[in-house]
Amino acid sequence: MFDAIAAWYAGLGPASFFNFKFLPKYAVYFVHGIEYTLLLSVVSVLLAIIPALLLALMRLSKNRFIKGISGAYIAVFRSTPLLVQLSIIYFGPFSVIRLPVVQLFGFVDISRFIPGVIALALNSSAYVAEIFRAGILAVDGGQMEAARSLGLSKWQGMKLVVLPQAVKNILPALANELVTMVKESSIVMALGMQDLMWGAKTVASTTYITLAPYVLAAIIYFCINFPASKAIEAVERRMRRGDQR
Amino acid sequence: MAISGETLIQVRHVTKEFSKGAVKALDDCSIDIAKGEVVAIIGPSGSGKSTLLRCLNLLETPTSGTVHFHGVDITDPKTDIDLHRRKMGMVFQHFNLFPHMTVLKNIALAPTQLGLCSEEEAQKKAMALLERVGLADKAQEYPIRLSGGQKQRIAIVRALAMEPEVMLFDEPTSALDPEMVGEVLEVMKELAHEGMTMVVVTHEMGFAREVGTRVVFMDGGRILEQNTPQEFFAHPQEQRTVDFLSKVL
Amino acid sequence: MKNNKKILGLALSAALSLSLLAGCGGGSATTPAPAESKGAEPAQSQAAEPATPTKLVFGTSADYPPFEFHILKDGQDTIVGLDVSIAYEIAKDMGAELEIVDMNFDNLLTMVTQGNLDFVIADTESTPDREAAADASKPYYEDLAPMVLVKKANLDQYKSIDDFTGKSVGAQTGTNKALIVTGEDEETAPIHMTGANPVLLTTVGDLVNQLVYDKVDAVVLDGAVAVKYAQTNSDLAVVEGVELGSVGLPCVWVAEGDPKGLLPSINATIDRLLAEGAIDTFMEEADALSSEAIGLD
Repeated sequence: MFDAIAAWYAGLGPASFFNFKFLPKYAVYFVHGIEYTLLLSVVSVLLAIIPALLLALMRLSKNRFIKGISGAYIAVFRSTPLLVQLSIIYFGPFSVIRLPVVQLFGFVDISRFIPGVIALALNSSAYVAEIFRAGILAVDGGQMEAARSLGLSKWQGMKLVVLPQAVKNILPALANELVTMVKESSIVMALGMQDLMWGAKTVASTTYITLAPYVLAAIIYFCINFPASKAIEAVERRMRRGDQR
Repeated sequence: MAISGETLIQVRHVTKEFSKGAVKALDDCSIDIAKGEVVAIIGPSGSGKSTLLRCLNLLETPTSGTVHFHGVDITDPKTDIDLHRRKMGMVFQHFNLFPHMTVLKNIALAPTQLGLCSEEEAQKKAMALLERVGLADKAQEYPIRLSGGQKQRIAIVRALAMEPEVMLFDEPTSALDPEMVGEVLEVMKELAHEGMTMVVVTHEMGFAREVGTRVVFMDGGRILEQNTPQEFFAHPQEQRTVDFLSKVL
Repeated sequence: MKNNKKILGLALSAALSLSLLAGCGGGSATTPAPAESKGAEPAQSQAAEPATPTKLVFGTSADYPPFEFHILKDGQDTIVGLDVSIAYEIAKDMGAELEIVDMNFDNLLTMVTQGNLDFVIADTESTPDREAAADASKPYYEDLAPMVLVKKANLDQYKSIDDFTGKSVGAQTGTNKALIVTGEDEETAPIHMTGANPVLLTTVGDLVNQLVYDKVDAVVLDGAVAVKYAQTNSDLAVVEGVELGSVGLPCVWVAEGDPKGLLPSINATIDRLLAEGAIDTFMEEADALSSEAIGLD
């Protein structure tokens, strides 16, 4: 039985789905790829939070001009492909802004990482802005009225009363955005950013094992994202129970 | 009218339209509120009484007309409305307590945030007010653990913590279970006896008759008639008032 | 295909110019920005004085053994291959430090025209379209002619180029192999297929996957690459007897008009390496490294 499996594995061709013979020799590409992908996703979503909050507040403003700017930004970034946005930012502003080639942790090239993070953060801020807007709108309007009736300013009401309550609606959606970003960020490979997908492509081209590295990458993405989404669901359920107390 | 104090709020020709004029909630309303008065605004639902009340502290901005508070035109966009709202406490039908804060924090929030007193002073004052409404033991609870009547008494205390000159009540007992209405009305009655100026939108005819110094009847966005409670309930002038009273009494 | 690339490049540049409104000299494909901070003497024509940069930024697409590919050298990710060895020689002759930028093949010429790369070596043959966008050095390598890779089981179906009519044939996006399949540019690829369904992808590995899983019937690759895949995968074979002819020789590419004045020195290096026979040695070394990388033990 065991011999049969071993024989089957040894006989796998270079284009087989399960030919993982490139491991352990090339495992380092996947380890660095995971680290790069996680770093890229986390930093991008964190960077997106402040602009997203601004965009959401602008979107909720009564001033039509301010509202329009935010609406246009969100519309543009949500209605165009991420790869195009990434290319425009990388070949546009960052062909003028020359960043020094500095290696972070020995494998994160700053001159590419920063344009990638900025493009992903700009894109993500459009989505996170809508998360914030929905979270803010889900807070009962009477809360802001109560704050204003006590003489608090609009911003004080937002900061002290509405946003702390909106956070509960926002956090799970924000965590989901991070899960999405872990997957979506794989597109930065096109610009040579050394994420998990790039690691898979590089191993595939070097070893002539053309499929299994991608299968491994898929397994890794799944192992990161599936438990993460389950954990978010569990936290969400507990928060809802808290509400019904 | 028994009260001869100075005019606190002066409403002149206030009209409020919603949905770009499709709905006229208020139609040319004018009214004066004097210091020390307890004005009960009554009328069928949709008559515009809540809208009128909300125009007094500009939670609704009138489409036209003016509202003066202490002689200052607060409908003027240049007026800092936040400063004037501090002196106009408001109590809502659905309490609108801040669910993420303890009772004490709810009450102390505005005074401390607006720099009127220190955190310590604000909490001391909050405790004293809670004592008065018999809820001192709830200071560290979150609103979710309180009954409706308790919530509304705390909402009143929260407004009082700003030491307002007038209290606006927007159907304060409508969302309460019947057995809790009494405890809230009791607190309001006490406030009235202490001489607080109050404007109360209510369906409690008993309260209007017993505590009010004046009753205002509204229908279709207009103030139809106003009088002392005794006169109002004994000798209603308008046919619509008669119809309304016959339904609710 | 190449035309599409250029249009995309122009579209990106135009979008950029719009978004920045002004102050973006590097955005236009035809007016490369001078590379400040690179230490290069700005020169306006090829006749200019030879440049003396202190650092050279070299662009390639390292997924194409044996020309350029990644290996683990003492546990460190390293880019090697024939083109990389030549790049090091170019830098050495100019007394400059070499910085390698690895990215998708189809973005390389955009980057060099924008001035973000000093030169590109990526087994990129000279063609009229490419000459219009960038400047090429002399050819440095006599490549094997392109070859067609098919499933060994189907090998006997393919005797001449006409046998690919009605078949799905893959090639790498933006390469001359793509022109052989599409027949879009007779000037560059006089021998081409007619009536094949072109399937154009960005990486060679993906093309081979398509072939193995019967999504395409054949793949046109550089001769050396096709031979390597046939050696490593016993299911695959190179079609014999179908001559595709040479579609230009690989060159080193710099921005149009050679604003940094690098070409004279690059050409001198190529001359020296050809005279010394070093190119063949580099190719043997690259082959050995590639075989070693495949040997997974």
